[in-house]
Amino acid sequence: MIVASLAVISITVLLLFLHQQRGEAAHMRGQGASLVRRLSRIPFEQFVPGSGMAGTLTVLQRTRSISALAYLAMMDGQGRPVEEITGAGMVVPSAPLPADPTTWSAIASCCCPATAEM
Amino acid sequence: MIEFHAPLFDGGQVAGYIRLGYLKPAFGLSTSQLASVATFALPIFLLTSVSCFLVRCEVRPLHQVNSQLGRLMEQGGLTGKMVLTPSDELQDFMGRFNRFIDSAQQRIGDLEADRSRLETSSKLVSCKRSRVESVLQSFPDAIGVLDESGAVSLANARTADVLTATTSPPPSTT
Repeated sequence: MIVASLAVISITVLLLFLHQQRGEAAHMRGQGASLVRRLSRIPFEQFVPGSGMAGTLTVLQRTRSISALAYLAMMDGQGRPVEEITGAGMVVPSAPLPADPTTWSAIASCCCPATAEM
Repeated sequence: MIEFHAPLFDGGQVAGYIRLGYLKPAFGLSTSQLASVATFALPIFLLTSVSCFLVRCEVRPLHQVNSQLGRLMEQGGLTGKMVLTPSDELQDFMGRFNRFIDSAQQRIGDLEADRSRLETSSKLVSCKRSRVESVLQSFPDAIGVLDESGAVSLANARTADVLTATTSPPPSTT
C-alpha cells in the first residue's frame, strides 16, 4: 500500500512536471514572438546606445522581466553584433541574416546548446 | 535553445536584425518547486496511510473469524460458536452465522435420529420375516404363496419335496 502510494505520487508529480514544462515552453514561444515583433518596430538608431545613455537592450536586461533569457542581440546588416546581452555563461551563436525576406520576421529556430554555452 | 529573430528597419531599409534566445525549460524539480511538491505529496501519503490503517481495522475481524473457523474444522465439525468482541461491526453477521450453524446442527441431529429409527425398524422387520420363514419351513405340509400375478413368491422346503415326488417317475416294480 505504501509502495502504491509512492508510485501514485511519483506518477502525479511526473505528469505535473510534464504539464508545467509544456506550459513554460508555450509561454516562452508566445513571449519571444511577441517581444521580437515589438522590438522590430523600434527604429534601428534607438538600439544604439549613445554617450552616457543605456541602450534598449540594456534596459530590457535590467528590468529582468524576461525569465530564462539566454541572449538578446542586435546585428547590423552584415551580421556583425552591434549590441548584445547574454545570460551567465552564454554566448550568442553566429548566424547570418536570412536571405529570404519571408523568413525575417519572428521565426523560432532551435540552436544546439553546446554551441551557445561556454 | 529557442531563438526568435526579426529584422530592424531604418528609413525603410533593413538595417539589421534582432535575435532573442531562450533556454528550453528544464524537466525536473527545482528548489523553488520543492515546497509545492511536498505540499502536494504529503496529503496523498497521509491519506493512503490512513486508508491502509482503516482497511486493516475492518479486515481484522475477518481474520479472527477465519482462524476460529480453522480451529472449529480441526475439532471435527460444526461444534461450538465463533465469538467476536462486541465492538466489532461484524457482530451482527456473526450472530446470524452462529444461528445458521445452530440450525444446521439441529438438522443434522434430526437426520441422525431418523437414520437410527430406520435402522431399528429394518432390523425388526428382518427379524419378523426370519421368524415367519422359520415357521413356514418347519411346517409339515407344503405351503406356497403366490403373488398377484400368480408367480410363487414363497414356498417352504416341503413344497419342493412334494413337487419332486409328483414329477419324478414312479419307481419300477419287479
